[in-house]
Amino acid sequence: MGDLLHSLTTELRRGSLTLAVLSQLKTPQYGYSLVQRLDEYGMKIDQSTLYPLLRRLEKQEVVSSSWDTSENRPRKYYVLSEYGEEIFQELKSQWQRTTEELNALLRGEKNNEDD
Amino acid sequence: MKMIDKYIHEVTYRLSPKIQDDVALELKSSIEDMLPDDYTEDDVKEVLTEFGDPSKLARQYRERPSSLFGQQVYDFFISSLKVGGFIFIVIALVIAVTGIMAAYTGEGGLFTLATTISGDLIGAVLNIVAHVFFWGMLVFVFLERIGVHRDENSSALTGEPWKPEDLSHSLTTPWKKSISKASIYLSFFWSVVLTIMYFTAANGVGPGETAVFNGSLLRLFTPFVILLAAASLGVNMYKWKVGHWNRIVVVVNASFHFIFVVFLILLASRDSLFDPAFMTYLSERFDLSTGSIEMYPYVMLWIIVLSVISSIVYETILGFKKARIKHN
Repeated sequence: MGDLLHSLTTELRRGSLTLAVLSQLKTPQYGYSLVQRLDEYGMKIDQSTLYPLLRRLEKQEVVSSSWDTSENRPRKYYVLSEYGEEIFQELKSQWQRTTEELNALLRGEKNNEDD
Repeated sequence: MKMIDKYIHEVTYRLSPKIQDDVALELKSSIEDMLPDDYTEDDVKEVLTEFGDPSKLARQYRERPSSLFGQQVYDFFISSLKVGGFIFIVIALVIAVTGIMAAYTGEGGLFTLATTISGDLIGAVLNIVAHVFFWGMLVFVFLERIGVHRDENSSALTGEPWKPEDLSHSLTTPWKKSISKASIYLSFFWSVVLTIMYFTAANGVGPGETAVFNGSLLRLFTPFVILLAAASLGVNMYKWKVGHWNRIVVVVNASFHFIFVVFLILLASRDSLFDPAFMTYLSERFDLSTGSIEMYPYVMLWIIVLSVISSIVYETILGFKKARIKHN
């Protein structure tokens, strides 16, 4: 059961990760700062998922990136593009709708059990 | 620290060259971000464990559908495309050279002759390439489905979850010194193609109703071809096993190629290499006298032989150079 549960949970989280990442990119962030911000909200994200995800989003022009080499360590900053902002808003309302529906469904299940 | 670079290399060499540097820089700064100022090797190990198996990370970057075609199949596919490209360049060169020669000697029929022969050649080569490609793919897909451990969190070889300690035995040779798997596939692929071509030719398959080559001569050479094919297989397996260029590998590789070149020259310099019927066929088809047409197949043959020899010499020299790169 452990393996199955693990893969189901991963699948469940996969879609929400993109939304979580986008929500933090209104201001430019680099990889590790993003990890920390998400962590503050209790959202754990695998490093091996985050960096490829950021690159994909960049390729899809949802975020844009720039290298900051002024510090002693070069850092790649990502920020939502205009298009990305639209996508994010759209995705956010989709998410809210889905969670409401799902919550209602789950509550319904509970009522059934009570019967 | 060395371990970080090794890890990053393990990830980036699996990616397309275009994004390698960018990914490397970003990973390095991200890994360093996670480390305390005065970090120890244990700190590095901890962070790398969080990043996980480099091959898995690379897979995430590659975003290719990996359900049917994995890394090996993909590499094979790409190298086959390169071989195809190479063949077409050689054939195009042959056409161009004979075209120029025709212009000088003023024989209009020659250019048509060259393009027609090349056309037949392209057809034959394409046919064989398609076969080899298809069966090669099938073998790789089969190997990948059956032979490789499918759990993506575990090593394909040991079945254990990835640990930073795995880095030390996954890559101890400098990148430039290693023998790329693609080159081994390529060499294997060529051996198969050439062997099949040889036996096809020996059995008298050619354009029209005629055989191109003298079948009995080719059959005389058959034992050597079988030996060469076996030797080629052995050399490739040995290169695969060692995985990097060293003195022994280079010498083994060079001797094999030397023997191959000697064989090629011996074969190409036989007077009776081409079937007389083929010459008659050519002279009838292009309306040239048998005497004047006889040299052209030989010219084309030698152009091909010389280009093969020069590519072998180039590869051998490269091998010697790589063998001299120091281990660190």
